[in-house]
Amino acid sequence: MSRTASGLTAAIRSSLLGLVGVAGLTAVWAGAVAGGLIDGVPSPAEVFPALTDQLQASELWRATGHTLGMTAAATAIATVVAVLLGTAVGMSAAMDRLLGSTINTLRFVPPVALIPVVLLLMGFGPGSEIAVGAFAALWPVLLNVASATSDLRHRFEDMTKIERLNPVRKLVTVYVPGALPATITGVRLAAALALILVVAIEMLAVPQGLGHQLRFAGDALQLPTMYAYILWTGVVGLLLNTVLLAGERRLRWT
Amino acid sequence: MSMRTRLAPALADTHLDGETKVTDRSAAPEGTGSIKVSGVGYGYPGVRTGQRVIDDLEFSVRPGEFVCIVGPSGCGKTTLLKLLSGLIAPEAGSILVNDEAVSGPPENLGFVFQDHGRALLPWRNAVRNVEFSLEAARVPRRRRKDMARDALRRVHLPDVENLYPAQMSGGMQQRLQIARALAATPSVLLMDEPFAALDALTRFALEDALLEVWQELGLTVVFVTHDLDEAIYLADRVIVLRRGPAHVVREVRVDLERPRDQGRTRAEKDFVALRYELFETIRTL
Amino acid sequence: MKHATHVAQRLALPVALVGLWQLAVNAGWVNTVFVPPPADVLEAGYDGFTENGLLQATASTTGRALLGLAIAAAVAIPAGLLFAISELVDSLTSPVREFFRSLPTVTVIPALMVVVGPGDSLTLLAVAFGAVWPVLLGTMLGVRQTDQTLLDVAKVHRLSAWDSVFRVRLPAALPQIMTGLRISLAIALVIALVVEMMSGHGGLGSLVVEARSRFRNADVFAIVAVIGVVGLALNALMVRVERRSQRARVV
Repeated sequence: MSRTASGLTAAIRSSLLGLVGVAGLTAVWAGAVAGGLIDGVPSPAEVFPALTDQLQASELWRATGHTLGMTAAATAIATVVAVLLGTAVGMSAAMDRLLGSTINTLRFVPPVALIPVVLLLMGFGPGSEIAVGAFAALWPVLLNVASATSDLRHRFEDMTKIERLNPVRKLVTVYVPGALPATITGVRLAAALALILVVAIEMLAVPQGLGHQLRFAGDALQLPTMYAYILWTGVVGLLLNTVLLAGERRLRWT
Repeated sequence: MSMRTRLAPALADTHLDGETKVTDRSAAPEGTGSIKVSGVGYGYPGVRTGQRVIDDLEFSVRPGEFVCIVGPSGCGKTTLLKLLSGLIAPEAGSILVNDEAVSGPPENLGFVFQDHGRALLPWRNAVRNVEFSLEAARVPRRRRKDMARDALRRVHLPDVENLYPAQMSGGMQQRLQIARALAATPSVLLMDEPFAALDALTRFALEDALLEVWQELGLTVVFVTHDLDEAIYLADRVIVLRRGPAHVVREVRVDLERPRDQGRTRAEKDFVALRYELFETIRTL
Repeated sequence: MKHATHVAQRLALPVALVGLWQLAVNAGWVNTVFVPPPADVLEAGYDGFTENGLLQATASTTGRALLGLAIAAAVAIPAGLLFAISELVDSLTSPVREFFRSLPTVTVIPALMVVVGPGDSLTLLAVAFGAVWPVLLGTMLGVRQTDQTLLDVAKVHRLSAWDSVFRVRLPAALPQIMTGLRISLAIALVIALVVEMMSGHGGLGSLVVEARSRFRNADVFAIVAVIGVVGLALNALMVRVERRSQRARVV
C-alpha cells in the first residue's frame, strides 16, 4: 500500500518536473527569439496562436486523417506480407535459405531511396505513399516474426515431435500464438516508421497530408504555421506511439 | 547380458510382479509398456563412423518396471532417451516399444524433459498446457478439461489451473510437465533428468509424487539421472552405462521395500550398500 | 555438394527476380519508358561512375551521413550518461525528449533550412538531429543496466564517483551504445538523402531527383541501386565494429 503510494508520489514528481522542463524549454525559445539570438524562428507567442487557429481549421484535420490513413494502410499491408514471409522463413530452413539473404539485402536499402522509383511507377498519389510506407514498415515485423518463429522451432522441436504435431497444428498451436508478442512489438515499430516515410514522401512529392501542409507553409514563408504543423506532427507521432504501446501492453500474455 | 548384481541375497526377487501396486483401471494405458533394445548403435551426423556415441546397446524393460539409467556425464544417456522415443533413429540394431518397432515418436509414450522451458508453452495456463497434449492426441473437446484436471490432481497440482508457467516455481513446472505427459494415458514414460535443477527438498517431494502415480497407473518408467541416490530410491533396477561408446556395464536390482520413504529407505543398510557398490562401479569406469 | 546447393538456393530468388524483370521488359508487360531493362540500368551505373560524378556523389552522401553521426554521438553519449545518472535531469527532460523522438525528423528540415540555409551545415544538423535518439537511448539503457556486482566492485576499490563512471559504467554500456550507433547510422543515411533531395545540394539524393526530373529512368534505377549498396556496406561496417566491441567483453 505504502509502496504504491510512494510510487505514485514519484510519478507525480516526475511529471511535474517534466512540465517544468517543457516550460523551461519554451522560455528559452521565447528568450532566444526575443533577444535576437536566432534568426528565422518564430517566437512561441506566434506559434501557439497559429496552432490554435489551425486546430480550428478543417485543413489540418483532413491532412491528419489522410496521413494517418496512409500510415495505417501501409502498416496493415506490411504486416500481412511480413507475417506470411516471416513465418515461412522462421518455420523452415529451406525457406530461410531461399528468402533470407534477399531479405537481408533489401532491408538495408534506405526506404527514401525508393521514393523516386515508386513515383516513376505509381505516380504522385496515395499508392506511392502506401508503397513507400509499407516497404519501411515491412522489416521490423518480418524480422521479429522470423526470429521468434525460428526460436520457437528450435526450442520446442523435441516436444512437438513427441506430441506428434503435424505442421498445420504446429503452426496454429505453437508458432502463431508464440510469435504474437514479437509480432505486436514489430507492428508498433512498423507504424512509427510508416508514419515517418509517409510524411517524408508527402513533403517531397505527394501533395497531400501533414507533410505537404508543412512544406507548403514553409515554401510560403508562413513560419508560425509551419512550426504549428511541426508541433502537431510531433504530437500525432507521440499519440500514435502511446496508443500502440498501450495496446501492446494490453495484448500481452502474462 | 551383463553382470547381475552379486549383492546380498536378502535382496532377492521378492515382489516386482505388481502385487504391491494398486493399478487404477480407469486410466489403464493401452499397449503393454515393454521396451526391448537390441544391438543398437548411434553416432551423431558428421562424426566419423566408428566414433559412435552408443554401440551394441542391449537391454530390456518389463511392463510396469521402473528403470533408472545412470552413468558419467556425456555418456549418451540423453541420446539413449531420444532413441527410445523415436526422436532420432539408430544406425544399427532395433528398438521395440510396446512390442512395436520405433520409427518416430510412438503413441502411448510420454516424455518429461529436463528443461521445462523447452516443454511448457508460456502462453497457456496450467490446465491449457495439459490440454495441449490431449488436443494433439485428438481427445474430444468435452473430455479434455476433466482429463486435464485429473492429471493435475494426480501430481498434486489441483489449485493452479489458471496459473501460467512463469508464475510457477521450478518444482511446480516439473509437476505440470509430468501431468501433461500422463494426461494422454501413456504406457511408457521417459524422463530425462527431470529433477536435476531442483533443490533437494523439492526433489524429494517430486520423487514421491512420481512413485505414487507410477504405482497407481502401472506404467513403465525409464528415468535418466546422474544422481545415484535418486536412482536407487526410485528404481526397481538401475542400469549403469559407460561412455565411449555407451554400453551397459552393469545392472543392479533394487529390492528395497515399497512404498519407499525418503527418511527410512535412504537410511536402510541395503540402500547404503547399493550406493557404495554403484559408486565404486562408476568411479572405476 | 550440400554447400553448393545451399549457395544456389540463396541465389535463386535474386536471379529469378532479375530474370522476371528482363522478361517483363521483353514481353512488353511494362512500359520501358518507366521501367528500363536491367542491361540499361547496368550501363547507366557504369557511365555514372566513369563520367557522371556518381562516385563523388556517393562519397559526399556517405561523408555527410558519417560526420552527422559523429556529431550525434558526441552529443548523445555525454547526454545519455547524464540522464542515466541524474534522476532530476532525466525527469526534467523526459517529455521534451519523448516529443522530439516521436517527431519525424524530416519535418524539421524546412525549419532548419530557414535558419541555416541550404548547404553542408543544414545536412549535418538534420542528420545529427535524427541520429541522436538511438545513441541517447542506448547509452541511457547501457549505463542504467550496469551489473550491480561491477558497481560493488567499484565501491570496494574505493573508486571516486568520476572514476566509477568512466572506468566502470561507460565501458559496461559500450555494447548498447554501439547498437544505438548502428541504428543511428541507418537513420543518418536516410536523413542525408532527404535533405539532398529537398535542397538539391549535391550528393546521391539530388542526383536521383535530377535524373527523375529529366526522365533519365535508367539513371534513377542505377542510383537507387547504388544507394542500396551504400546502406548495405555501412551496415556491414557497423555490425563489424559492434561485434568487436562485444567480443572484447566476453572475457
